[in-house]
Amino acid sequence: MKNKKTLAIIIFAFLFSWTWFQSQSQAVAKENVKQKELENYLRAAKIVSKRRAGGRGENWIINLDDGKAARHGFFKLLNQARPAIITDSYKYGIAAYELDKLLDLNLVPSVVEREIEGRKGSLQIFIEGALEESNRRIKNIEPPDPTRFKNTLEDLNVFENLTYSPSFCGERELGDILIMDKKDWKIWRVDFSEAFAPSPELIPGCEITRCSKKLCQNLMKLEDKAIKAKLKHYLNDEEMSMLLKRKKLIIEKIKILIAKKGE
Amino acid sequence: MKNDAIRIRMRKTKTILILAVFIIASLAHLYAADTQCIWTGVEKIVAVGDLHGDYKAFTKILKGTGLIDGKLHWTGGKTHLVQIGDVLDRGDYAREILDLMMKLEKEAEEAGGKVHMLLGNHEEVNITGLIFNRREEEFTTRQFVSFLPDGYREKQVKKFRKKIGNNPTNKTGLASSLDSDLMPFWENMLKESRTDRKHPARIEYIKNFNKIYGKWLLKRNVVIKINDIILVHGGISEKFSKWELKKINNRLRIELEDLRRAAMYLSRPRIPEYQRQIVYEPNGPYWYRDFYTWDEEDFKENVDRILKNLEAEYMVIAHTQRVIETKEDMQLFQGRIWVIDTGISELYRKHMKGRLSALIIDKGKFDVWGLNNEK
Repeated sequence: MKNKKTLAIIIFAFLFSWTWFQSQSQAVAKENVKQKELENYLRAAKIVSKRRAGGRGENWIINLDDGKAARHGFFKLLNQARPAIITDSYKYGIAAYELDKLLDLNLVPSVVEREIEGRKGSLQIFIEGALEESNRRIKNIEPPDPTRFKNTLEDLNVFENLTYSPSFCGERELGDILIMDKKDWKIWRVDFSEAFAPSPELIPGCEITRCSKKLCQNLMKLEDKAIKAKLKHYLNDEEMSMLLKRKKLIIEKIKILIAKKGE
Repeated sequence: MKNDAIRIRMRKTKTILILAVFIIASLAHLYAADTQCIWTGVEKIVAVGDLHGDYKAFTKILKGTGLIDGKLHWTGGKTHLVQIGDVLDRGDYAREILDLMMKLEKEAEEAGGKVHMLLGNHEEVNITGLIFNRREEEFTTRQFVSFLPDGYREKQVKKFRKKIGNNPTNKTGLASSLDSDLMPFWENMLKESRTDRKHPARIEYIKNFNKIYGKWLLKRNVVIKINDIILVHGGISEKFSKWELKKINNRLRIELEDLRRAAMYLSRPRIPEYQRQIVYEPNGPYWYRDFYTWDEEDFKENVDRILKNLEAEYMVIAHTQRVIETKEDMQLFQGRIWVIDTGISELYRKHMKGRLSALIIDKGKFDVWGLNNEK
């Protein structure tokens, strides 16, 4: 009788974990498909029209149409990559997106390299009607699920330390680069055009205090050679080596946090 | 033998020490010199927005507001003239504007007045040499040629004329380099300079611009306060409103000087980019644009707080063109923010409904020159 009960519990636990694992994998697979679809769209959609967008770089808002759907894209064409004395390059945005994909984070909207009117740049899917973090703070708008929101920001902080691109910590308050999709409060981080500073340290004032299990595992699993293979077109040797150093530092930091606080 | 070696080593150390002291002293002069940035008791202020190389428009405004006479001499007495930045790019005659500002600065000083040239984002991109990376239409060929050193420019012209077997003209100075037959030659040189970081013409432009104008600009401010009015190119964000004006100006000068040197000598900046606090910051004083995008009702308190932090009543900004018909069109947040970029330069007047203007603040009363098509 007792054995039967134990067996039932084991079977239930197995089925539950299996179903959970399946749903998670499906969700990840679904996200990946969505990203792939968007990348294809950005590469192939027809340029219907364009207009200048504000900002320090040379950015355009592009009206795109692939015959099935019309969407907006954000085209950045300034390429002041290092060793330029002031960094501002569309290439770092693509590098951040590739890294986001390797970590399965889904915090960076899909972006591809594309040539428009003879000029190469990055074309990123435009998040329509987003709420900027600075405005959210000023207007005191509470997210519907504050815990989930806070946890995502903690993961974003890890990612920003990795890419050395702070949005809302340390000395920076760049409200317009952290945005929320108003429909589902999905957090998106845009504009990495000054990222990947060749710093061997993490960002002062942006201390990592928490990291989701999924991100920790993915970060620890992620091999340096995989990063090099994906990002070598966008980063120079120094930027790459400092990125890998920061990755190592973050992993060490997380291990200390786990030892202190538990998983 | 051993003593000789010690003596040589000591002499070397001494030379290095003297050199170090000399370098520190010369830099300290620039860094520590607290350029005045606050004035009180000023009766009349005339503020002019983005000029983008339109020398003619600028002189017309100065004459119209009674600050200069027909011979371009200061007649403004004790008035403070504030040009709020973005003299450079998009137009042809930035050099002429800067030369005039330098001259008027001295004349106004003698008359008890003041000429303030503030730094804008276009001054930044020229000091750092990044103008070569910007869109083609930002950087006109005429501006490029005008800031090349005379010797280099004349040598290039001679070489070109010899190659095509053409006789030199009777003109002298910059004018002799700007004959129409030379323009394709300069255009090509500018095109090559854009893609080649080490192109001699690009290096000559950056060095010469910085040796004369960059150095002068770096002794100017990015933000000033006259009476209870803050004047700044882009605006002051909440973060920077908590800084003293002196700190904003000094920090900017330090960072920009570091980049000026790096641009001139193709070297690495000494301040690592992740330690910069103000140059090229989107929320920095000459890139900031939030006042234009903020909803007036939602953000009124923010503007009030920023001005309170700055101990000021008003802020005068530019950086983003506004189409104006009336005095009210230049005001934001119930007249606490005044926008003076009205599209003064020809490019804007031709294509974007721009118009000449100047904001006149006389004994605390705000008025606008240029709304009635004054001559």
